[in-house]
Amino acid sequence: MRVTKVVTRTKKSKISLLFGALSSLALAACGSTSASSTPTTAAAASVKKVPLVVYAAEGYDAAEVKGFQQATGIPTELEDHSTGTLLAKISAEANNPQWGVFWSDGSESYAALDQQGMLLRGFEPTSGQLTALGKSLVPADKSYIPTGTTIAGAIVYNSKVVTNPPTSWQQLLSPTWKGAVGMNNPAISGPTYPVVASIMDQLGGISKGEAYFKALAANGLHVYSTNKVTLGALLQGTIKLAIVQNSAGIGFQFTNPALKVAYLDKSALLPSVIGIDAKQSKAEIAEAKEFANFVYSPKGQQLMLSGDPHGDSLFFPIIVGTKAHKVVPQLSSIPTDYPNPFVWGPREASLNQWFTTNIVQ
Amino acid sequence: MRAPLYTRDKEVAVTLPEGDSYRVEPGVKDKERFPSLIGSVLAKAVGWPILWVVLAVILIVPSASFLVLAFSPKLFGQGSSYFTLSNFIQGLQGVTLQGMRDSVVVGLVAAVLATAVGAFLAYVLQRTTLRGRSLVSVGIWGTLLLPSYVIAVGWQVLLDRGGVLSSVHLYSPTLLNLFFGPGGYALILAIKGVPFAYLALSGPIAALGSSYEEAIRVHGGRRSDLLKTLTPIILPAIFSSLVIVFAESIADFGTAAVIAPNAHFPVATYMLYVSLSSYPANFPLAAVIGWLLVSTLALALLAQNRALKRRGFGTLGGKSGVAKVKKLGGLGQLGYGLLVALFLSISLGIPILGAIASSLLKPLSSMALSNLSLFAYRSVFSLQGFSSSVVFSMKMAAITALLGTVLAVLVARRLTNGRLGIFGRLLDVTVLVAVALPGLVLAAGYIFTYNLPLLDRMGVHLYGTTTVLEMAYLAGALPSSSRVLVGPMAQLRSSLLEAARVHGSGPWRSWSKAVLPLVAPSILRAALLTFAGTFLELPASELLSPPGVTPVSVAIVQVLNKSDLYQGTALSIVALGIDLGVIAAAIVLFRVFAPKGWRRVGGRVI
Repeated sequence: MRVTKVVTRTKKSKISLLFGALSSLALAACGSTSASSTPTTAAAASVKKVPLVVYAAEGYDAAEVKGFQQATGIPTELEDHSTGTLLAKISAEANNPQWGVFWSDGSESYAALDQQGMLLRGFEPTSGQLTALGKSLVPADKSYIPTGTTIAGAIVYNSKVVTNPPTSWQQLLSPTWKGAVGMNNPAISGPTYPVVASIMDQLGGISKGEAYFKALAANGLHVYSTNKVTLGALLQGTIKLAIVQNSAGIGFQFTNPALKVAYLDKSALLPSVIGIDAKQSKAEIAEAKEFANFVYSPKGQQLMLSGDPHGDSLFFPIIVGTKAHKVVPQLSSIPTDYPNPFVWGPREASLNQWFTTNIVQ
Repeated sequence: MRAPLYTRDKEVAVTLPEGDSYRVEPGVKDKERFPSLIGSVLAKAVGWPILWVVLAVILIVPSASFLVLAFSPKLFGQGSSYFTLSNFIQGLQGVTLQGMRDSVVVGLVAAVLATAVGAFLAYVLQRTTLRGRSLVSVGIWGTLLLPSYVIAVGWQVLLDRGGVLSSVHLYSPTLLNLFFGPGGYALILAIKGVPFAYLALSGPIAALGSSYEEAIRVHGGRRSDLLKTLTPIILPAIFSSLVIVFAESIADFGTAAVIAPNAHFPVATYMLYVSLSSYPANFPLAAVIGWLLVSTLALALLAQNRALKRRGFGTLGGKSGVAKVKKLGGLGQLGYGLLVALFLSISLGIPILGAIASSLLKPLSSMALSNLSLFAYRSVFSLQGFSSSVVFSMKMAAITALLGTVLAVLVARRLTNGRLGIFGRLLDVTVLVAVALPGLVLAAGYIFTYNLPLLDRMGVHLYGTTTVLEMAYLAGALPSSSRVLVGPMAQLRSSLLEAARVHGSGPWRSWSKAVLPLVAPSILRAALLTFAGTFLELPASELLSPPGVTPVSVAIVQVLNKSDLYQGTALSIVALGIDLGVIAAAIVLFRVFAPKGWRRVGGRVI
């Protein structure tokens, strides 16, 4: 069945193949430089190449996929949508999975995918060495691969309006911030569920966490769909504090220098994660592993840093030797929290439903 | 448009509906409806079953596949049971049920409001001499083409803290709260519903002969008696209008996405979206919401049938006379003109100005002329790959417009072909029910249907191709475009074609000379509506576009998700401009190149 499918894809994606062929020609023209920089290329060339389908929700994914294709000659097809859309697609395709690699922010969904047996376990890239922080993000069964991290719920504010930003989650309940705080609905914005999970984890459990969010709602919390909409509300002055992913906040500083980012005690880590589809053919799994290795390689890291300079590229690296952008603060200066994704992942659907029912509505 | 019409032995001036090809001619009998050539040739060659096969493949099977998940999730790998009612139990309580209730209430309010405004506009455009009627007609079409979220965002920009009103010190939290609540929600849905109401009502209002009015006047009736007597006569059209606006309203997601999260007002489509966005996506619950939407519409149709069942409404006949046109004096011009202008500012003016203003505004600045800049637009033109997205979406929209219009003509012809019969009624219900299913449901239904391993084993590899995307576009466009064609097609009669044939003309010549001139503008209108809807379609584009292919709407969402809010807004406006530009160009081309006779007898496109 798998072979048939590959044939279909070959038929339907002539443009991609043409692109792949052109890339190969370009590589051949480049000669030894490319070959030496990517040791995997020669090995890949000996195996029959099938199209690798990458489902990704990272700002730098297009640059990374292009770089990977150029370096390896593997025809790679990118599906670039929001995390929510991709997860819905993956769920709907469960009977007949179409993806080879899934790359997005937040390990909770990957833990849930792993518990359903959908992820390849036991694989770690060898082309880069993880830092201590990076190692702490790797799951015990090695079912997914962390590639960097951001902070899920940083506070972004307009320094011309707010001079004394809050420092803890509890302060957001005070009258000072009544009707002034905005966040995303975790049921719609992928990177927001870790904020909810982390706050609940820090407060000691679901019921205490729910009480906190109810108090926050009673204090006039605004709920929007995604980071950009919440930041838009901040720019318009509808809210004074936006709880969003820190990379989005730092990105907005480029065009709005008056914006500042503050980190509350404690802020949830939000790793970007790669998962490999366990149900794909051996050939595609091999290519997916090669993709993960490429991401860990210096070239892959450089593309992660340059692919979306005002957005997702503003991450904290977890590969030894990769340096964050200058505008990104030292992670050591931020009190962080990382709730166990295998505990909080399976709760995602029910807690998001609870949030929509009790906080949004 | 005013044109001479010949009735029996005298020429009478009559105001024809702008762009619609209605004819009041003697001796109309219901069974003498006229078949179009495409319809008749296809119907004769392969029969109606082929239409049903096409509808099954593009619309019925994918929708049914999704709905079946509500009680048999395991069938598509979404749960552990082949039969369960637990999802219905979950869906029929708490916030999901509340959402459904809210959707119904808001849908009803929107339907009544839109029908009232639509009837008023139909009256003004068809039965008065108000100046600038063609401009109003363009405005109504603009409202139809404008996505509902653009209207909602435009209003938000006006009312928000830091918005246009606050820059002139008119910011009102009360007004803002009113907007972010059931009131604002119903208002936006009603605005979007007005063009549908207008389409349903303008024909009957234009064709309503003046004999009824004269009879009332002769018997000393007042203006209120006139309304009381005439309203029941056009009751079928009023019900059609109520049902279509209700269906469009309960299925709308664009407005829900903007207003629902901050309104603390759950509606069905938002709950459906939420159930699909977390992992694991709750498709069975979404399917239950789909069932609720479909059943609600079925109930509305049942109510319509019961209300109209035992009464006769035959009004179009030789004896009903010609519609009387009210000559407006200076005061009348001013009064009607102001009311129409008020509607157009609410439906088009504010949203368009709001969207443009927000894309021109410098970040973190208040609304003032000195703070406007084109910086967001400059970056749009440097965006890589956007032009290929535009070209791809244009091709797909053009194909959908072409194929979709042929299908819509067939459906409309079947729906207006004398007695409907069981299959005709079934077709009517199918096409209308499809309106109530959000695009997301249809798109997800496509995944379940066309990604089945069984199809792979059978050698059918449709999933992940542009063919499947095209099929979904067609299915999404068909309900609206066939509705647009039902009115004009219902007005055609077979006597024209028969006359042409009697005089020795072949079938093609008869059709092209006698009928095409009358329906050409309506067909072009349906095609343009399909083009506009497909060019910016999002749910199917996101879920079904093949890897490596980026339709325009997906490209915009990618920009909005990643780099820049302003660039995203500017991009939306550029795309909307391209969309409307193509439509304007098509209309101009029609006016310039279509045979003179077509333009004369068929009326304007808008």
